Amino acid sequence: MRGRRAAFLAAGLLLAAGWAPSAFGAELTGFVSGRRVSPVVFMLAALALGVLIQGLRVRERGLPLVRGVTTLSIFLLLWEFAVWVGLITTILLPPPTLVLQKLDALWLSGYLGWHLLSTLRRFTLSFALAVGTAFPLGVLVASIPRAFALLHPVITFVRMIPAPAWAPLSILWLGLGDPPAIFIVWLAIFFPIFLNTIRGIHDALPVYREVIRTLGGGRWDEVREATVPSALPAVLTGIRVGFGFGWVVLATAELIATDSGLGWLIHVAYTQVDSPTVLAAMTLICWTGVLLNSGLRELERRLVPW
Amino acid sequence: MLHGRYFPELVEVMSVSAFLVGIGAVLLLVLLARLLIPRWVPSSLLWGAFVGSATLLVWQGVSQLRLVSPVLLPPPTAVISNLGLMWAVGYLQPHIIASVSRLLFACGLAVVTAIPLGILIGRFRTLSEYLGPFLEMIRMVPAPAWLPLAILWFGLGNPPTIFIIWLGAFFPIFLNTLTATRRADPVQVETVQNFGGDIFDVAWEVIIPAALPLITTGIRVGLGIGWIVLITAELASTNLVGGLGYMMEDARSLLDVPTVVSGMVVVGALGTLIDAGIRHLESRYMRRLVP
Repeated sequence: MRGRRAAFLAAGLLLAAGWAPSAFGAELTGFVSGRRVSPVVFMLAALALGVLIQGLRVRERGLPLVRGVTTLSIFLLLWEFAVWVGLITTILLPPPTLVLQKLDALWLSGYLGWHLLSTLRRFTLSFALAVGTAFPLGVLVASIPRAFALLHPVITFVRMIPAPAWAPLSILWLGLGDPPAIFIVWLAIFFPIFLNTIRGIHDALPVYREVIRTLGGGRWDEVREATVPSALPAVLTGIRVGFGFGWVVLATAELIATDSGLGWLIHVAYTQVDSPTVLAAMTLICWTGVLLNSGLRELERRLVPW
Repeated sequence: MLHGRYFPELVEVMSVSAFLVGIGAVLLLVLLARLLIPRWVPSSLLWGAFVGSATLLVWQGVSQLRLVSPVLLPPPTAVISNLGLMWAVGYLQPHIIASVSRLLFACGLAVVTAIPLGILIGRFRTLSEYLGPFLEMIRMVPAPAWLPLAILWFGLGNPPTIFIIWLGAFFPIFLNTLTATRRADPVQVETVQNFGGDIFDVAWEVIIPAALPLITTGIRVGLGIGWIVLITAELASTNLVGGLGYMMEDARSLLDVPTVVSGMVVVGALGTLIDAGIRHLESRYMRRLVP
């Protein structure tokens, strides 16, 4: 938890450091990159950041944060420095300042935001679809005796086909655009949730159900009051695992089937050997992933306090 | 290349009656084996055979009754004959070898790098505080998204593919090793240290044996993710010749759907096989370790 918060803070402050020059600059950098943020400014900003965080170190919990940020700052500084003295070619690995500036320029032009929204829309849709199908189906299969044992071989086989392997077939079935991408991501998220739901229900103690029955509850009460709550931790684990798989597969799906989204942006920038944009999109994917993941953890803590 | 799509007349699609007879024969064989040597044939295998055959029959029926166009969903007979032909002319084997060797090499690399690093970072709390956020940032970028940069760094062909598979397989193994190392019994660790053992002895005598179940789980998850990333890399990068993903994408661009589906079947079968292999090794090694 601490490490994640440290990453957040570092990302936010670095973002601010990268944003500041353009915010205070005389002119807005346009779609095509203009001035580069001076490396000196960047280094000063990174150092100031370290000092600032040292100042925040009031309680004991501040220490891991300081350490985490130290590594990140040193890494970024070394990276910047290596490009600066010419150890690394800019094309192969653009320096952080250039990436931040690109991020800034693309963001201000609205280009990046549009692709981010496209990715998020696609991901949310697939995710909602996967949860909405996998959970009820899991409950259904788990509540019919022997159903899972019967389906197990077929499920195992289908599960072992990685989601991207469905891409060629799904393009033939559903055409190009959103449908195949959503289908592939749905498939990647579906199985962890489905299997964990079944496992959670099978592992639930029968005592709870018997208690409900003894108290005069019907079959529906049993499901609502005993089965689902006791399976919920496993289901949420499945959702987190599925989230991870979906996030990996989404970049692929966008690359193969669609014409928008951050994965697509990476691919197009790559074909134009525009490595700053590649890294800017990767950075944005990283931040979004961290944000969504910690949101999911928070949700898990709220939903399953037991 | 001798291949169905260039010489359609060569692909002699298996007849439906042969298909039915084949399914019946397999079922009979399994049933007979169950009756004769029940120890070798668990009931799950029996049920699996029945449900699998039922699925194949439904699939064939859907195609036969033209509920779905056979062009979009080729019937099992077409897929089976296609698989047979591709195997017979030697088209399938090189692709399988290319994919599996890529996967095993990259995952071997991930095992060799992730386990020592996991033990090191797990043993020293300060180190994990220093490196945690950094690794977390890298982990959150999906492995396929590294492909463009990897191609710029390592050139075309195998190296960038192996790099991103390594990246995908690394984190599950690393994180599981880390967790297992933190859970290692301090008394055992101190015992080894009291007898003059260094970190290598601690790792070898205490951490690895205790962490093995968790590490094996990590390896299985890592192989699963590596398999996903591998197929992605082969589908997405046009510069990689060979491999099952390449085969499927190539077939799709020629609307050779039976080959696409054959590729999926082979990928699924290989995934199952590799996973079963690891589980087998795990159970054998565990039995030797825990008397």
